[in-house]
Amino acid sequence: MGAAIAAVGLITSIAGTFLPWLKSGMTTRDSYEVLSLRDLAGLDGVAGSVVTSVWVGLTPLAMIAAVLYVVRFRRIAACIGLLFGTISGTVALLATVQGDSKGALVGISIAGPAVTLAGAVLTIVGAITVLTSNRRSAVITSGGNP
Amino acid sequence: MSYPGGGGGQWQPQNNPQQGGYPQQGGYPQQPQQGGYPQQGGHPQQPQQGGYPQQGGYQQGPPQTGPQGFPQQPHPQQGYPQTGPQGFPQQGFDQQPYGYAPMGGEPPKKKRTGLVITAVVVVLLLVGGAVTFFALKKSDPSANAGQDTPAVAAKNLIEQLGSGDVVGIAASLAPAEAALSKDYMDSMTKEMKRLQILKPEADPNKLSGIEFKSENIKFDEAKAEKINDHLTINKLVEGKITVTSDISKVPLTDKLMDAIGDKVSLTKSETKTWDITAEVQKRGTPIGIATIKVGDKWYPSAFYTIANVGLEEEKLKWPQQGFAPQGAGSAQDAAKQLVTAAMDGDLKQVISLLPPDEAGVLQDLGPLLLEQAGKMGPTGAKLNELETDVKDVTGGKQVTIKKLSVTVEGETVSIARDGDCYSATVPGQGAQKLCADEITQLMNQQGGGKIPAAAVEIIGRVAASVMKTGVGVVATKVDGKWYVSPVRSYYELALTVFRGFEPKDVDALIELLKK
Repeated sequence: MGAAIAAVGLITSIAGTFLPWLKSGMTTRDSYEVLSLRDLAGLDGVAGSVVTSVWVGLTPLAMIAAVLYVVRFRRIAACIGLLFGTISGTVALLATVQGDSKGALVGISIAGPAVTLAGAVLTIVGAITVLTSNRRSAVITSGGNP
Repeated sequence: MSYPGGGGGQWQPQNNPQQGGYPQQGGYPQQPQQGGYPQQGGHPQQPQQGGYPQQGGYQQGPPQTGPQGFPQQPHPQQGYPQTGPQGFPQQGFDQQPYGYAPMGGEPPKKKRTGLVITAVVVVLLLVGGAVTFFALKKSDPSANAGQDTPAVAAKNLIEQLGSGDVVGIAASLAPAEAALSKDYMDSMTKEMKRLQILKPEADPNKLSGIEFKSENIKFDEAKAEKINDHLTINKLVEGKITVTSDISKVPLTDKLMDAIGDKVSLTKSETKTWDITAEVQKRGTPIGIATIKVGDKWYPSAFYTIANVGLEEEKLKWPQQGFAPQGAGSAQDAAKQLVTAAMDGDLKQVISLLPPDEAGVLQDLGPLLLEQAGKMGPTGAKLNELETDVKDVTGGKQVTIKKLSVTVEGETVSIARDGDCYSATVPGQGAQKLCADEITQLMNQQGGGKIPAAAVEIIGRVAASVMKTGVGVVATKVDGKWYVSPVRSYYELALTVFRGFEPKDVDALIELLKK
């Protein structure tokens, strides 16, 4: 159950990164297109590369977590899911909070951050479920089986 | 991980002879075994003698239950039957799923779990890889860095303008122009907030209170004018651009809104439509949008477009060949060479000392500017000495005068700066010294009480700010050489003046507006 919730969360979160994060006039940009404008935001050089690597690296991280869930390395998958959810959730939460830009020509578009945040929450909930249920079963086994 | 043996258990009758062994029930094909133990349920067995160490494969020994949900690492076991974790992957074994030995010779059901898991993993890896590749490509800054042809660059700019995509415009403008705009927009906004002209939450990037819309924009590519290898003027012939402004959405402070409230309508938005088709018919010529080549990409250029408008109005043509840039070895040298060239009346040298990225338009227009300026002789002034201070500013280095000595018509004038005090030596008048904190006092003496006290205070404060910062130019480095940037020098001076103001000065200005 936890793995299924986490898997849905991972997919939702990654899908959210491809939804609009920034609106400029009538044009919207997803999170990766926003990253491509990092020079404009003064995030050039090493800082820009690090931020981009971490954000783009979320997809491989989600993929690794999903693969580990499939092959039933659930605890490791849950830990990776927690890392994924924390990173994507924090960024999405900050963007969602800053999302009110009514009347402005340029502003944060709420769709991408909100979906990513929802996915991150599901991922974290799923991961916690997996970790706690495994722990519970381990305790039951060690204490109860002959 | 592999699941050999026909997907987990192809039952076959056991006909293999076993030496010294016991009857085997159910199970899987077995290799000859010597002195072994009974086998229940089965796994392929390696030849075994005496029931001892096995290599790879499956072990025999006491029942063992591995933790569920965890993989097991390979570890040789001897002599006891083993029951592995059920339904979980194991690493290191060339294995079949652990068996439930068909005691009565029932063949096990064919398991396809391994195949399904492998397929799912492969699909996940492929999808993940593709998504990552796509994301990487999208996040590459070069995706915004110019276009392959001048026509596409110009069209993009107009489309972005039409959709109000200011972020796209900023990203697609020529890099040096975009950097200039960004650097000083941020600094100016900061000052405006400090002076309580803009609200504290104002964000220069949001550009509140204005909207753009374009319709049916069309360029005539056949009429595009190629000036040289790095400049093409694209011809805009049709379309409409509508700009809607709403001052009530501009993040001005309440006190400023109150002050201008009577002068402008704060409730109605204004819409202006620029009919390009009608404008082109009226002018008789298309509207030129200049694009320049930087590296191997084309960018729209605001500076070149403005210059082109000027040339069209004056009915002048772009020179075929511009001036080559001639940078200096250091910021100080660039400033010194510029002053010397200006004193010598050498306009060509002055233009050559400007940055080729920001002021390339002036170098391209150079021969024409020289021709329009007419013959310029030396000013007669001679630079004897120029000592400078250098400090880092946004985008370059600000070079300010520390000591200057100039001879004009045989007379030498010297100015030296010490902190926020300046001393000037003028022939016949001796040395005079003026410090920043004396400006207000001096103005009161000179003005004789005619200038309002508030104005004296403001002027004194602004002058003091300029004296403290120092007067100078900003030099930028391009391709390893230093050039003097006129735009950045102007902006730095403007910022210095702004920094001399205080919020109460704006209040005084508002009071004047109300009167």
